[in-house]
Amino acid sequence: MRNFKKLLIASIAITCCASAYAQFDLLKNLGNGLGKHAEAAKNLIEQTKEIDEPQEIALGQEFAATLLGAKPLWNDAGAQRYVNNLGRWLTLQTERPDLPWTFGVLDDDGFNAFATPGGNIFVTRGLLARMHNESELVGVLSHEIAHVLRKHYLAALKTKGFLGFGADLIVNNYAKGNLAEYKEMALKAAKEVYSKGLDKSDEYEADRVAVVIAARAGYDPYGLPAVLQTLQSKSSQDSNFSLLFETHPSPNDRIDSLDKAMRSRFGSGNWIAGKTIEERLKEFSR
Amino acid sequence: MLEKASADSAVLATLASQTKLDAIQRQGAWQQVKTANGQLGWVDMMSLRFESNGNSNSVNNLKVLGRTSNTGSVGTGVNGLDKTDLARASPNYSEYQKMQRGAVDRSTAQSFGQRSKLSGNRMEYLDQSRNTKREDN
Repeated sequence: MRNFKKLLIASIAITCCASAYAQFDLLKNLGNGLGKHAEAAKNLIEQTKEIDEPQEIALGQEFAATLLGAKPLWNDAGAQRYVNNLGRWLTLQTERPDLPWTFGVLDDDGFNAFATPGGNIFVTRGLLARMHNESELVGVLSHEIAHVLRKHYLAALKTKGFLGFGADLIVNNYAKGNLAEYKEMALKAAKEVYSKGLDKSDEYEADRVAVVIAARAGYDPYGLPAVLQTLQSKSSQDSNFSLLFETHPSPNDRIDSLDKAMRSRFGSGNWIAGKTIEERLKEFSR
Repeated sequence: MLEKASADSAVLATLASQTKLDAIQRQGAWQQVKTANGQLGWVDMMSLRFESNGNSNSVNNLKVLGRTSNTGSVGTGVNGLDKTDLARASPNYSEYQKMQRGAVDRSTAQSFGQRSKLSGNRMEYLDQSRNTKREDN
């Protein structure tokens, strides 16, 4: 009974739209069986857990501000312009072309890339410096874009037991206008998710989506596998790579998985490797 | 190992698994390699695994697993963004606003694509169950 009560309270707390109210009424009129009630309440919670796009974008702002609190933007207007042009071109090849996609280069020697819900994408200056050509950077950016497309960060927040509070509690605070609580929870969530990383299967999925986005955009889809081969030659003990190694499956496993997925699917295409990053930064500095 | 970066090219040699090779250059799915006796040729890049000895040009052929975790350079270089940086972070909204001002619109991105001679390709996602249409541009 206690469990049932808890579920009901939870469902009242999250009924903020008309359809949810209607479902709640329906729930009250269901059969007398307690099990049935509990089941319906549980389903209701699952359904209303969906975070809508404005909420996703708002949450992304908090996540992005958190990352920028850890490392600021690289003070190079040309580099920032370049990643925004390239990144935005990639997003036009996707099913969510109109999100407020924004790209940034963090002033950091390390090798990493991040995304936030709603379409903020970051790469580090150290990553940019280690790309052999544009198709490799395209592989990395597309991998991050894929995390946004498939809402992997929101999925991480919905993981059972995440920080003791779920995604709905964060979003509820937002809906109710409890901004202080909302921002505090979003900050905690961002720190947790960037330190622990996403679900490993979501990383493999992002790799598979990324090679297709690259190919659609006209780039050599083997840029991402090439980046993963570069990572193979790096040590997880190297502090410039350690966070990436801690939060991702091993490069070996990722290449094995991509090898299976890509086999005979990318035989011929109209792709280019692209210029070197050095050439691009020169071009965009003007 | 093939003569050219193409599947219908002549076969120069058959390499055993775990043959050590030097990586020269990559062309799409093909990697140009050099054998121990100096012979040049092309192999499927996905069959290569790079060694972790810091010499990034040395590779092993065909799925050599296991990375030796060498001593690394903890404390000797500048640290990349790590968990400590994240734990200490407080949100920087003014930096976020600065970043937002750098966002570009669709037409700017499209002209970047044209200028870069990028022609879009049609292709479905690899996960059959989650195919989604691509936006034409």
